[in-house]
Amino acid sequence: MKPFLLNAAFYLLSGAVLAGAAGTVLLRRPLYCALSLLFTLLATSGLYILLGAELAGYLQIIVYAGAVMALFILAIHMTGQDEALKVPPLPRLLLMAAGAGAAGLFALLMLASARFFIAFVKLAPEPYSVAEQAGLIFGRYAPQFELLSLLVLAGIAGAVLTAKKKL
Amino acid sequence: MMNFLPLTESVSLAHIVGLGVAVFAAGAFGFLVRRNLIVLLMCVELMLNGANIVLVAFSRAPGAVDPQVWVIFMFAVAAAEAGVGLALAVLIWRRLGTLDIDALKELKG
Repeated sequence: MKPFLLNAAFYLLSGAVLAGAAGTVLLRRPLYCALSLLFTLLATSGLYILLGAELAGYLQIIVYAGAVMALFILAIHMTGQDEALKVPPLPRLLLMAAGAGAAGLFALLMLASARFFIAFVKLAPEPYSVAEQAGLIFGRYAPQFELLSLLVLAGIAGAVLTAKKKL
Repeated sequence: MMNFLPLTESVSLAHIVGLGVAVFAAGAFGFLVRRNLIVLLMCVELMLNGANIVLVAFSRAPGAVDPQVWVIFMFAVAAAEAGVGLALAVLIWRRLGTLDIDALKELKG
């Protein structure tokens, strides 16, 4: 593919990610927020694939956009979404303070990572293969992987025990 | 497997990290200003997503595969977090009849 097309794809996907993030934060109805977040997640998976993280991109579609977002939409339907519209909006001063805080966070994080930008301005030439990543997961990170499976099991048990009416 | 890289000189690490940090900051802003419990959880997911973008960006540094593996680990953590968080939201809805976090005053001293 031509570099021009790659750049265009990168900026298009970045715009989609940011637009979806803004919609998630600003839209009033929780269901619209969820759909906006879904849009963000799909655009992000496209970005991952563009950046050579193919396994992460496909897993993002399956796990995040598929499973987690289905859970969110199910929870929204279970709890009734219209009551959110009755809440009065926040005072303007509070909104401005939160905006200033988020902008400060952005500036701080960019400043903190700025010294790495000089080190790797060019992107690495080769994307990493699934086999390489699998070798890492089941090799160096095997204990962490097993701990993670315990965490997911605890999550399942906790969710069932919390949401069940009668034990 | 298609080789999509390099993205030429005009897209650098700073762009991708900037995007991730912007998504993180947007999630933090939403977490501060929204009051619906489920929307708050969505904002946390947005922040996790921003962190993932930064990890993928830094995995493009020469010789660094590890961050992509961490992204895959973060998917599992996020799934567990969403499951427990939404179960709590459903429980609160059933007990109080609302998801407005301003209505949760039982822990106030």
